[in-house]
Amino acid sequence: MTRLLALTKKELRIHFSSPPVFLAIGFFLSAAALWFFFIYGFLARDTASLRGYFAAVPILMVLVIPALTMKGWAEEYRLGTSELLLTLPLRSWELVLGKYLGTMTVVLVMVLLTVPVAFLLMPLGEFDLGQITAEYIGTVLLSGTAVALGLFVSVWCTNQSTAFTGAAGLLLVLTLIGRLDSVLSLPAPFLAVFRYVSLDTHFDGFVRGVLDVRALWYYVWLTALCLYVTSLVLEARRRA
Amino acid sequence: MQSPARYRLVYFVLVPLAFVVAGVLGSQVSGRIDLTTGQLYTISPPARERLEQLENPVRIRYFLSPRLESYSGEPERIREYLEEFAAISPLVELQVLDASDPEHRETALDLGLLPQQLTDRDRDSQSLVTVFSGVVLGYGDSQTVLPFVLDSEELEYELVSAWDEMITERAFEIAVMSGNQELELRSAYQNALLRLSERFAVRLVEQGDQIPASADMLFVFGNKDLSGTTVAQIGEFLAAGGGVMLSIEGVHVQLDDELTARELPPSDLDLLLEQYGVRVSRELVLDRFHMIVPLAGAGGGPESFVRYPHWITLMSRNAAPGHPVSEAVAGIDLFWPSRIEPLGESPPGLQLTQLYTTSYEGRVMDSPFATNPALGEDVYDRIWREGGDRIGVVMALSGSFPFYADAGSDAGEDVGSDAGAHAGTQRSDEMADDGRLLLVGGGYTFSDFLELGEDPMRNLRFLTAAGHWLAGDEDLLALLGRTSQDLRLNGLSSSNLRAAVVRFAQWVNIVVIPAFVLLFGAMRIIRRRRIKSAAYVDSTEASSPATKRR
Repeated sequence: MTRLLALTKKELRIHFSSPPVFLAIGFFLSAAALWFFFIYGFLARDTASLRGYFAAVPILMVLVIPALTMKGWAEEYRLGTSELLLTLPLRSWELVLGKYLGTMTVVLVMVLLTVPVAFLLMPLGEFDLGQITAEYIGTVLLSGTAVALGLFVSVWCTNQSTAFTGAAGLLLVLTLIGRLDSVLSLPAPFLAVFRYVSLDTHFDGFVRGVLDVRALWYYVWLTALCLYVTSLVLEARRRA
Repeated sequence: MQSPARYRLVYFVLVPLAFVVAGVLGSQVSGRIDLTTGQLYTISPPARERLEQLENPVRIRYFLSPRLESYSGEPERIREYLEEFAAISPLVELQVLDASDPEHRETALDLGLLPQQLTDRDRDSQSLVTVFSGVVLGYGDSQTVLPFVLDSEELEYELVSAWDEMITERAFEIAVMSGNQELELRSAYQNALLRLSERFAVRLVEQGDQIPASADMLFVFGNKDLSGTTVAQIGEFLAAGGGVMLSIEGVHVQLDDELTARELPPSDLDLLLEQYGVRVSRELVLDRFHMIVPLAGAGGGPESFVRYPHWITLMSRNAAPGHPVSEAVAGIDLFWPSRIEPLGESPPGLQLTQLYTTSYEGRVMDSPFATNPALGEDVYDRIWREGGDRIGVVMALSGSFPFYADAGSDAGEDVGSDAGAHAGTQRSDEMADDGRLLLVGGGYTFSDFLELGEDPMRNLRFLTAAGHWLAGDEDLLALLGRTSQDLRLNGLSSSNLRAAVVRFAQWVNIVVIPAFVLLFGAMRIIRRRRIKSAAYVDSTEASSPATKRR
C-alpha cells in the first residue's frame, strides 16, 4: 500500500509539472461550458437541468483523457526510465495501478472544477440534485474507464503522439459505435452488440439520474480488464 | 516463482476466462438505483399495490420495432420497466413482440397501435421505415391499448390509469359546461376536451340541461353568463358529494372590444360561494412573474414583445405544499385572474385550502382597469410602487357542502332534479356527502387561450389532476405528480437578474476557472524550472575546479 501510494504521488508530481495536463484540463472546462451555454443553448431551453452539460462529457473525454495518459508508459520507454521502473521491487500490477491512480486523481480534480457550473446555476430553478449526483458518478466511472483504456494504449507505444492518437481513436470508436445506426443500416443483433460495447450508451442512464447495475458493472469490468491486460504486457516486457 | 506453463495457464487462460464469464454474467444482472427526486424511474407503491392485489392474469404485449430500439434508448427503458412490472406479480404475463415481423405487425395494426415513420439513412440513400412502440393490456375479455409509447417517464401513469379503466371496466365521467356564451365548448375548448377525454368519459352539457346522473364530476369553464338555475344545480351536485371545478372571474375581459375589462355584477354564484365561505373579488390580479406577449405593430409595423402582468405564471413554489393537486402539477398559467379569498373562518365541515397564490410580488388592479398591452408598461408603474403580497387565485374546498339555500331568481322547481338523483332526493345538512370543489380564478384558464401561455401542457395537466382529485383517485394523482417537476428557469423574477446570473456563470466557467488552471500550471512549471536550473547551477559550481580547490 505504501509503495502504491508512493507511485501514485510520483505520477501526480509528473502530471502537475506537465504543460499538456493543464492545457487539457483548461480545454475540457472551457469547451464543456462553451458547448453548454452557447451551442446546446442552456438559457434558450429554459430547463433546470445539467443534462446538456454532461451529454458533452463522453466526446470531450475522447480528446482530454489521451492527453493525460499519453505520457503514461510511452514517455517512460522513450526516456529509458521504464528499464529502471521494471527493475524496482514492485509487481507489474502495482506499477499499473500506481499510474492509474495518479491519472485518476488529476481527472477527479478536473471533474471537481466543473462543480461551479451547477453551483452558480442553482438559483435559476429547481435542479434535481439526485440527478446531478448520478451524472457526476457516471462521469467519474466513464473517465475511469477511459483512463484505463488510455494507459492500455500507452503501454504499447514508444512515443507520446502515437499513444495520444491511438487512445483518442480507440475512445472515439467506443464512444460513437453505439450511434452507428444513425449513419449505417445494420442488422439489429449487430446494433445491439454495438450499443452494449459503447461507452456512451451506458452513460445515458447516469445522465437521467439512474445508476444501472449493468452500466456500473460494464465500466468497472472494462477498467479492470484494461488494467489487467496492461499489467500482462508489462510483465511480458519484464520477463523479456 | 511460478513455472512458465503454470504462469501462462493462470494469466493467459484462467483470468481472461474469468473476465469473459464476469462480463457475460454482469450484462445479465438487472437492477438500478434511482437517484432522481421522486424516484421517477422506479415502480411506485400504488402501482406495486395494484400488481400485488391481482386475482386474475393480466397479459401485457409490447409491440416494438427493433429499428426504434437502435434509434432511441427509450424503448429499452420501457421494456425494462415492463419487465420490472412483470417480476412483481406471477399473474402478469409479458410478451415483447418484434413488430418488424409481418405477422406481429398485422396484429399491431388490427389492435389499433399507431405506426410512426422514422427516417432510415443508408450510405447513399434515405428511406422511411414504419415503427411501432405500443402496449396492449389484456384482462379477461377486456383489452386496453396504449397506441404509441415513447416516454418512459409518463409510462407508469399511463399504464396504471389504463389498467384501472380495464379492470374496473369504468372510466370516471365528467360533465363539461361553458359559463360564457361567447366561448362555445367545441370550438373554444378543443385542447381541454381532448386532454380530458384521454382519461375520462366526457359529456358536454348546455346550460339549462340537467347534470347527468352518471356524472362523477362537473367542470364549468367561465361564469359570466352562468344562470341561477345552473348555480343551484352546482350547489345540489356538491351537496350530494359530487366534484366540481369552476374556472371563474370577478372581472371579465372582452376579447372583441380591445380587451376592455368590466366588473361582473353580483350573481347567484357569489351567494353560493359565500355560503362556502369564499369570495371572488372584483379586482384583477397582477404579478411580477408574468408572461411576455406579442403585440402587433401599429399600422402593420413589425410585431414586438411586451411584458404583460395580467397574464401570470404560477409555479410549484406558489402552491400549497402537501395538497395532491399542487403536488401533481408544477404550476398553472392564468389570464386576467381574479382573487379568490376566504371570508373569515371556514364553515363547519368544510376545509379550505389556498392551492395557489401569486408570488410575494402580487398586486391587484381596481376599476378602471388598464388591460390593453398596447398601453405600454408605464401604466403599471403606480401599481408596482405599492407593496406586494401573495394573493390567492386557486382554492380547493373539500368536505360536507351545505345545501344551497337561495337558488336565486330564476332557479326553477325542478332545479338539479337529476343531480339530486346523484345522492337521493330529500336531504338535510346532516345527510350531506363529502364533496370537492376547485375554484380557479380566471375565466379563460382552460380555453384554447392556453396555447398562448408559457407552457400549455401545465394547464392541461392541471385539468387531469383536477379530474383525479375530484374523483377521489389519489393514487393516479400521485403517479401523475411523479413527473411534474417544474424544470423551468423561473427561480428569479427579474429576467435581467436571470441573464446576469447566466452571464456570470458563463464567465466563471468558460474563462475564469480555465484561465486559473492555466495560470496555476504556468506558475508551477516556471517554479520547477527555476528550482531545477538553480540545482543545476549549484551542482556545476560544486563540480568546477575552482570550487574543488577551495
